[in-house]
Amino acid sequence: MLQSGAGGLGCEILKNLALSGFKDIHVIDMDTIDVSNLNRQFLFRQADVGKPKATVAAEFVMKRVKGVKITPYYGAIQDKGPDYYMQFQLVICGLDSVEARRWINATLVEMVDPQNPESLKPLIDGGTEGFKGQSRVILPTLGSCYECSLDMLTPRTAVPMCTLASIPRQPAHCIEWASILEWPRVMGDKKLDNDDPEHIQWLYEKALERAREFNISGVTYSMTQGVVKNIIPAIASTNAIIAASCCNEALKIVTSSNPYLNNYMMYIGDEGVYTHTFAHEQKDGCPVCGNMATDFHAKADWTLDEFIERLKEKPDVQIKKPTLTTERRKLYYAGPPQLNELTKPNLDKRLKDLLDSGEEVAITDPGLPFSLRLNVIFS
Amino acid sequence: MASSIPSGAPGSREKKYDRQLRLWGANGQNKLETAHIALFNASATGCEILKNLILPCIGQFTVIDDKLVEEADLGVNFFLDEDSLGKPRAERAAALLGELNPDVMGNYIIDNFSNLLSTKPELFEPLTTPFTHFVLVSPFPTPLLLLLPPEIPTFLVYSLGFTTSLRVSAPIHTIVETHPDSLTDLRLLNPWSELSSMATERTTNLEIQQKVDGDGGMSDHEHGHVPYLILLLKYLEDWKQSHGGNYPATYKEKGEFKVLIQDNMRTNVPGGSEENYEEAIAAVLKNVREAEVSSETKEVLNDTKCANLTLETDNFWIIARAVKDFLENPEQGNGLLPLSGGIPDMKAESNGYVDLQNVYKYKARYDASLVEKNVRTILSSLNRDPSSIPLDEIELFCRHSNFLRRILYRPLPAEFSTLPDEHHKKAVCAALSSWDADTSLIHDYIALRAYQSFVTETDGRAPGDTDETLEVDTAEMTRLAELYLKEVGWSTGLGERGKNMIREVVRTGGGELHNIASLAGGIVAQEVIKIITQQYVPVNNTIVFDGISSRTGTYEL
Amino acid sequence: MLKIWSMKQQQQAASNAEGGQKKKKVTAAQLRAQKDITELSLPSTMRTHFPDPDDILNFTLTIEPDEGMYKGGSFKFTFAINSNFPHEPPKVKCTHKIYHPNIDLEGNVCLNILREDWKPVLNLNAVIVGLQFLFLEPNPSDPLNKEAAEDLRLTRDNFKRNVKNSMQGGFVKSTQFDRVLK
Repeated sequence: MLQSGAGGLGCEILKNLALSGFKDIHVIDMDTIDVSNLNRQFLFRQADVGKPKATVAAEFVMKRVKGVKITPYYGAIQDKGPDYYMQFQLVICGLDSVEARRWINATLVEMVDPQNPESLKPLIDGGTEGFKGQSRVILPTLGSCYECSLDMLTPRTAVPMCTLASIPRQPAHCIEWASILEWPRVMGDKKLDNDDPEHIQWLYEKALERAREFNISGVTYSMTQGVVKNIIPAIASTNAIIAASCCNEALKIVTSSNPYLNNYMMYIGDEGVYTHTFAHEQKDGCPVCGNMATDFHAKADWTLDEFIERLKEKPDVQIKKPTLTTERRKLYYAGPPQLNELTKPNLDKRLKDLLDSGEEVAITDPGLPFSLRLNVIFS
Repeated sequence: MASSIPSGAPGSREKKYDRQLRLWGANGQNKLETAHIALFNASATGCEILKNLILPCIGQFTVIDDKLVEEADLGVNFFLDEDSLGKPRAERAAALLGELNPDVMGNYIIDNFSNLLSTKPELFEPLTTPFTHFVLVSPFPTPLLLLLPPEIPTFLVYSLGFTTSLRVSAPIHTIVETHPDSLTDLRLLNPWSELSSMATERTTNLEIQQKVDGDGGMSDHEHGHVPYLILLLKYLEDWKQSHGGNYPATYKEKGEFKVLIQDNMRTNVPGGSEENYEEAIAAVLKNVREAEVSSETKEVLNDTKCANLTLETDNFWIIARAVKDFLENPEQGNGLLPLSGGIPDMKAESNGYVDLQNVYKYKARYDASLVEKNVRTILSSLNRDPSSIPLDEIELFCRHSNFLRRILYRPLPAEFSTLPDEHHKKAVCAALSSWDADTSLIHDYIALRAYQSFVTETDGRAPGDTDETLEVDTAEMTRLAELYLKEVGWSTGLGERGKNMIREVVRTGGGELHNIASLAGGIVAQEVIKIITQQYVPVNNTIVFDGISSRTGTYEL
Repeated sequence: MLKIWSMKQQQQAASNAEGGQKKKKVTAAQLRAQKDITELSLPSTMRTHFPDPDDILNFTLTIEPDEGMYKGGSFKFTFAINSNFPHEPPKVKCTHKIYHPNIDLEGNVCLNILREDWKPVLNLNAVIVGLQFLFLEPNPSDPLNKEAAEDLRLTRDNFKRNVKNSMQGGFVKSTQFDRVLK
């Protein structure tokens, strides 16, 4: 069992897994404990501020619940590769960033090997905001994945740069002006650290000054922090609901005791209680799971040029000016000129000198709406 | 003298509670910190509920339980540890929960509800009890439930295997800060004189293209920065002139009105269109409408509490009455509520926007000052200090005046008496005959009702608690469920899901699953927080969660 | 767990993939960037350069307008694409200090599709067309460089002179600009 995230959801998840009878749990988190975590991350105390979340959480739960082994890793999920993820039965996530979720989702989808039942790792994902949250079960390659539902995210409303620069109207415009335009102008290459109170104070003062200049009211320190760090309100109770839902699904999957969630539950608690449980559909052409590699048999002695010609003959792929890459090298770039010149010599090389048998080749082409992935197998 | 910039940096409490203050503010936090929650039954579910209330900092909690910690507790309750074995649950749970937050005071009583009711009745008297809210995690025999004082908000919780439910009962609950998506009220069809004059002034030369600087025409730059509210007001006036004094009312007319705006947009500009005009067109359907009083606010203003004020009446009802007077007074609101005063962001130059914003802000302030006058008059007439309600509170109320809520919670006896009232019968039968009755969670509720009757009969023994009694208990639970259905006037009997739920409840033998206990802890804590802070809208009055299908159902029972 | 795998096997039976050993794959962001970059339709007035040809996520674009007020100049922009592409727009900055109402002295560019109007369906070509347009039709309303915008709005001829002067590395008011003549 792997759990990524030891924050608001993570603390709850770790406790729930331990009390659900899971004996061997790994937990990954790259953050250290901040005082603003204490209103919900109940495994941490004032004295723990500054320590790694994963380590403190693991120690606390092992002390409280006998017989459970928890292995913490203080670092990023991206530090680990498929070999690491392969050891787990199931992955459960309480992450706070879209980027991290996309990464773990793509990694688990890619790991699915049709020859190996062990390679399919159910992914359970939770998220909260204020009184609302959602939990979902992702069966990589079998159903909707995280990437399939990216459109459901409401994008952060951005204000035109020129509004910030010349016609601010809202306190938030003054704050964004301070962080996006004024900081780099005055500080040059010095990086803005959202967690440094001195930096926030600087932004706050600049924003306040600008707001006064334009007769705008409402800039506060707290708002400055909120805008700059994109703070999402979070409370213990919502985390408890979502984390418990995730762990409940994990337990059902692992024990096959009851049907598991298919595949999405939204919980909305700000006006009465409303939940919506539904099956989110896999997206056609999803760049992660809707685009799985298929096998393509080729002769190791073919030149790359020959390989491309054969591809063009395939009736089910309409390609004209393809670009081909593998994870480790560019094979051939149809454009722009610089990259085309660089990769042209590969056209005369033999496949065996460019690829290993079974290696994946990714192909883009103006004629393809998405991309094409082929496992090139030498025969 | 140079004006100094306030540091503004938050204090340690603001830092610690930052993520929740962004939801309920200092107002909500102050209320939370004066609450004293009594938990009856230190089960896993009970402890999880308290955890989620202690972390955000309620004032105090008291754990009431008379059992000793057993091995089985450790497998499901995070707030009991090995050292606790054999010791009183109340004491140990209070200690381990207390560690969560040094700002919260924890207490415990080693006793049970039934005993306390006779030995310490003052704990249950509204005037003498130290508790502000009761949280009960079943089992409790029904007669005890009927003795709970209706004046104290009570949260009755069931958590059995994959099923959990919460019943909220409380005295009349009022909410000002309901947190709707937007408080905006633009009054486009009910403009007051300052707003109308601003619209006229800003648009006198709207149609004249400036050729050279100072020729009296409007430059493209200026034209593209007239706030869309001003544009709408101007073109609504134009429309009225050409339509016999009427505003566009129907969908079709609004469509034509959009075309009118479109036709006046300058297109010979960089980009070929003007953003402010596009914003105006996009706002027509939603914002070109008469200002109306919402049905929820009408409910509040028409409540008898508004009419019959006494010295003891809450501020909420006094201000509500003042708002009602404002609404009905031709010299004041004349049919309209006090203005909320906010406007959305829109394409405009800084000055133009801030000036427009001020017109709304000043009008809102003026309306609130009239309501304040009414409040002071009412307070005097009640022989209360006329300044005892601060202006801040009145202004907050006015801003939210179209989004008020009052919830009349049904008392527990109306649901749990041997003969439930008509409302209850109707609500259950309606759910049982709805289109989704086959999968409805009302069946889970019925199974829990049978469980409630069972524990009442057996004085707390859970059905299915030993393997030997499994069959007998299932039969008895079925009988009790059928009996209950008869009481509510449902003649068809227990359906398929109902039977399954009975089996499911018996199978648990009264046991909790940690995940469901934890989930219940979250649901209940959310509702407790909403009731304490009087913000957001709590559930009325029952929520059931089924952990097998991961669904909830809410019912007013 | 067994049930899930049998679902997978059924799915497998329906397709023809035999699979092989698992290898690392190109990321979705990278693949999308690859598609966008190879399918750029660059007119003769623009060219890309990859300082590190192995890194297609960071490159420069040079624009040399052949008409309008900025004719004769050569303007360089850096493009930085992050791993959240195309859900986040590329970050684009002008590396020269130039006199332009929509580009400030730090090289920030005000172009709607680089910020508030970015959508994942847009591609790099759209961004490049947008940048090119900024040199043909500098937009004086809602500027990043307020002085330049006012200059353009009030006295177009004066603005033209200032642009010319600035492109030669001269001063406008008290600010010296980069020489960008090609």
